[in-house]
Amino acid sequence: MSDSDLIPRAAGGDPAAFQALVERHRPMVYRVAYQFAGNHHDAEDIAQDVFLKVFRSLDRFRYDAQLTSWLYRIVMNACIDHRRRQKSGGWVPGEEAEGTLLNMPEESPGPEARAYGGEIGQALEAEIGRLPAGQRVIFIMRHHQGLKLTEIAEALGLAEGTVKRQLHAAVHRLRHALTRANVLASANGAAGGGA
Amino acid sequence: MTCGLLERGTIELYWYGELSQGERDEARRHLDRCLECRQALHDIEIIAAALAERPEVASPPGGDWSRFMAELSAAVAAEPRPKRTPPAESVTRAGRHRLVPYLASAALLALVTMSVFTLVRGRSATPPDGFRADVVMDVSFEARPPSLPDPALVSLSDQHFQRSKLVLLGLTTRDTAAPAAEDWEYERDLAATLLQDTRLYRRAVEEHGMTGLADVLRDLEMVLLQTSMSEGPDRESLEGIQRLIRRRDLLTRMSVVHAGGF
Ligand SMILES: [Zn+2]
Repeated sequence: MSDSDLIPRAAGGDPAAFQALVERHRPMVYRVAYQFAGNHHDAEDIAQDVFLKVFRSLDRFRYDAQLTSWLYRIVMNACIDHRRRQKSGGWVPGEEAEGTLLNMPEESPGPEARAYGGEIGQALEAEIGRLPAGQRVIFIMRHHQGLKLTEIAEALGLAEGTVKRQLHAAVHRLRHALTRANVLASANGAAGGGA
Repeated sequence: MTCGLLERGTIELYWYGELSQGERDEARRHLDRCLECRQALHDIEIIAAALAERPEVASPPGGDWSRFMAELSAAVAAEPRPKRTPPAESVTRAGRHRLVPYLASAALLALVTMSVFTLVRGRSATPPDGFRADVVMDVSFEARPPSLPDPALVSLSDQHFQRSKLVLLGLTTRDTAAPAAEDWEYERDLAATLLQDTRLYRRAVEEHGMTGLADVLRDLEMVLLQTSMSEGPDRESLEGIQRLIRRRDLLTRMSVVHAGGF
């Protein structure tokens, strides 16, 4: 059964149809979420969010749109939201101190992540984890999903110039972090400015 | 000095193939004569190559989706049915007060858990037109009658309670004269994690006017907070935490609530 058959059924309250939709698309959603989060705990959180949002807006899905591109948009926004939520915490006593405690220890990367890439991979992973959410999403979308800047801009509702600047900022940051960590060749030769 | 072209991000756009033909030719000519930009381009290539080796992880550990799906269906069950977006007030107040007195404790917990789920989800989502977290939460009464607690939900909150009790037990039995540092970090992290959930449960419970349970959860929250904020297992903070647990008779009270059907 195709997505366009399943969506109206799920929107009409058929749990099996919704489950079929989830089962079909969860690998893509999870993959993007994991690329963004770098660990299972947050990836699962994000993926949960995505499908709950899908559930909530099934009846507003435009049938001329591709489900996957609609999903992409939801995943990207869920990634950004997730980060924002982690940062904001949001309760009363001892908020700041506690917020820091709860948010500081990012889950250490899973075995999959640890296995990859040696020095550069590790430094890169750490630094991607430190990118601001918006930059991280844009960077991941560009690199892993191969989306064009116009597509990213459209999906996130941003001006293309903004996406360009954010991507530039992300790459700039990664380059410098890797240079500082001494894993890029130019770190050795060009420390004093190459030109 | 940083090259202006590099500063503007042109080199990245060049690499990403996002430049127009004219800009592209210009960038290429520039690259021929600018070492800094050539190095930047080289760095980007290295980064891209490393990224290409980033693992593709497309499922929870071991490819086991069962917990994920259980949580999702629990969260979905607590949602109002799509299409029907009922107005706030009417459902809210009437629903809450009509139901509370009749709740058996297991069902009550399921209810609380559902509310917690929707609180969490409600907070997380940018609510689609007109949704408000509190509305969503209260509608959950309608979505699933409290006489039918979802087993997945009950087992989740049960887990939370059990783990909290274990932490408390660990804390009370620690020797304050010679506090060992080894497990402290683990305990502290665990306390911090449990704290988040406890707070949500407590809020949901308060929301439903269950003051007895709310009191227990508030005390638990306090202990977990102190634990999560302690630098190390030094005698002073440990004694403080133990006193708090004893004074509030927290373990006993938790057992009573728990035996009541959690
Ligand atoms: Zn240059």
